[in-house]
Amino acid sequence: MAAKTPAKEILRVENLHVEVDGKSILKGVNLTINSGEVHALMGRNGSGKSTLSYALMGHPKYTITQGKIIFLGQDITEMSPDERARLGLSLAFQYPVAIPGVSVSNFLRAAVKAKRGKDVPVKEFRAELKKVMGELGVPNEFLSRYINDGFSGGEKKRLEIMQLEMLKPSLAVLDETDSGLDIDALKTVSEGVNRLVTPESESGILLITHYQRILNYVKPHFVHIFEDGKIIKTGGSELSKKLEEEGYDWVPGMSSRNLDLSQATST
Amino acid sequence: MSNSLILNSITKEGVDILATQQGEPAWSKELRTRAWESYLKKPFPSENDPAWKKTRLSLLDFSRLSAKSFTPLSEKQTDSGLTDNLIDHVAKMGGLVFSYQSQENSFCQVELSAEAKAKGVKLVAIPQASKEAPEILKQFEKNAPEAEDDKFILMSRALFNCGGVLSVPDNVEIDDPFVFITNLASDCVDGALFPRVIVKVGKNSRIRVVNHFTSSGSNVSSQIVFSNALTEIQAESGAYVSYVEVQNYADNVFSLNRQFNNLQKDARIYSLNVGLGGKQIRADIYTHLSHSGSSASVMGVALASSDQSIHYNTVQDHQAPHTTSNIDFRIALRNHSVSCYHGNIRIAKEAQQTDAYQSSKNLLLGEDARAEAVPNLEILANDVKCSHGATVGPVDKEQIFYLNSRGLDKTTAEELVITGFFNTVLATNPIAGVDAFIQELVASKVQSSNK
Repeated sequence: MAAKTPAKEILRVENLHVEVDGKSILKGVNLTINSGEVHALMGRNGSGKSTLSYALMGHPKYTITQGKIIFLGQDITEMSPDERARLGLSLAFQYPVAIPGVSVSNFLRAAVKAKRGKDVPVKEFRAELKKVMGELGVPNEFLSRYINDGFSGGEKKRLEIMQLEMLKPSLAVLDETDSGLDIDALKTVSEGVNRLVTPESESGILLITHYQRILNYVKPHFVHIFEDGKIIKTGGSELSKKLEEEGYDWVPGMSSRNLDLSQATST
Repeated sequence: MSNSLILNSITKEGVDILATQQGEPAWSKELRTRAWESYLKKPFPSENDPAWKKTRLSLLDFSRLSAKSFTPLSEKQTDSGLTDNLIDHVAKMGGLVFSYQSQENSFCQVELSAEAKAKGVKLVAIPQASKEAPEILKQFEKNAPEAEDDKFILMSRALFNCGGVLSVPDNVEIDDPFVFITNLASDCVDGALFPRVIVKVGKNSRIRVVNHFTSSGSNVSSQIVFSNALTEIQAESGAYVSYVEVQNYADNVFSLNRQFNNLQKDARIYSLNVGLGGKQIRADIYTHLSHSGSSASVMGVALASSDQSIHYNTVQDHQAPHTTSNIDFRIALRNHSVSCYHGNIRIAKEAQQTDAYQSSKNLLLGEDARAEAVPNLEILANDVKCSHGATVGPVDKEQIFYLNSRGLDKTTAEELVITGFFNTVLATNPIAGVDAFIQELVASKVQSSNK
């Protein structure tokens, strides 16, 4: 890694065990992400990838039964989601929820205020928005629309990236941000992701995906293979290419699936 | 200012004194007396009656309450102690009727814009209506749908003492809203107010009306006072009326509002009722689509907290073919407030090709809050489109988590979701300025009830 600034630890997940509705899903996840790093987390449907993203963000339905999450040197295991967000953790949702009646601009203003701890002057805020929107090719009318209400798949993902760019988190977790995007949208979204992490930046990215294709645009420094609630193999970007070509069955520790229909359709 | 402090209790004498003090002609006095006699014959609604069960009538003690007569003032009385003044939000008004009642005095004022005057619009305060707009008063009495005249409507026909009459000739278009403000000051301990607003819109005319019920002052008396309002809107052929009502009374007010929308051929009404204040809110909105081509959008937004109880009753009465109605009511309840929404759709046998829709959404924010939505459909025609939907439930936890994940704390996230819940309806409000006024009132109530 050609990081100009010395790499700083952003996230350290230690032996994380998580239950949902009494069912054990994560079974001992260990993961460290430093500044300037992009980590790709790949695995089959149902392996627990999304659970990891929700548990990191602190969704109340996900109970941490063992282990801890250290974020920027702080133990955030018991923290509320909004505290985590204000510290600089962010999640781009796979299925972002619609909130009718709340306009994108009002929402972003409130979010930026919460993150920065102070109100941003309207003019400054508008200028910032305009820049980000220009880069993502988002039309002005986006701002007056209600959050994700009647949005197409591509529009939802754009809005997720737009928020990341406005909030500039120290760690962005992207949960299948590539699913359901056409090639142009995938490129735009990837460019947005790349702007977040530069070798000089203080941020890191955890990119959860099924597919290699986003990794053609966002180059991961590390690729982790997730199976049955833990990371079973870690490698460089060559690992994702091998997965694309050969599937998961060759990976040691992977349970074999003869007919894997679940992988063919993105849920 | 002349003294208007002679009390009129809610009795036959009270009716006589009111008519005499306002110098009303014999016919007017007779109409009041007739209404009073019918009032006496009608029984009080029983609290077991499903149509009245969320209306806590036991809060009312008529022996304690009295109706006053209102003194018309010609000079402008701007200081009425209102902190959230609607007038500050409306750039230009077509006209204004301001009625004010405190424990000390009661007065009213009328203003009419030069444009409205030039276009032949008439605007009269109720105390002068029997002298200055006798034909309209008589006509509205005659057209009153007797079937719907319950005990309280008859009480109001006998004792109406403030509000105004607006009459718009044919083929007039005025953008600036006509504003009715009824201010029942919060220091009142024994007030009974009977605001009446009559709006008659001539053929093909388009106007906007705002009807605002509010209370000035911060020292709220612990005694329950009573406001029994009657609003009658008549839109003649091809007319289009936008009507926005905002009820933001102090929390010692028992607020009863009855609204009648009567639509003639191809006439349209947009109606938005916002309910925020009062101890008890009871509103009935009757929309009579009695001529073909008439259409109505009736929207409602209410936010209750503490021990407020709200009861809305809407009637979409389709009597003619090719009529359209769309009802959208949204109620959010905090603490242990309760609500009930009764939505009635009636489609007469002749009313073919009608389209009626009704939606009621209820958000429960307090653990002890209770909401009820009761649709009641009576469809006699066989070629109609009619649908309804109701939801009752807490705030969507996934929405809150989404906002939390962007750094918004629980309180802010919840406020945003509640505001959004209302906004989808409030965004349809066509009256500039009033829109921002309502948003501010709602936001401030969302925030204050969150503490």
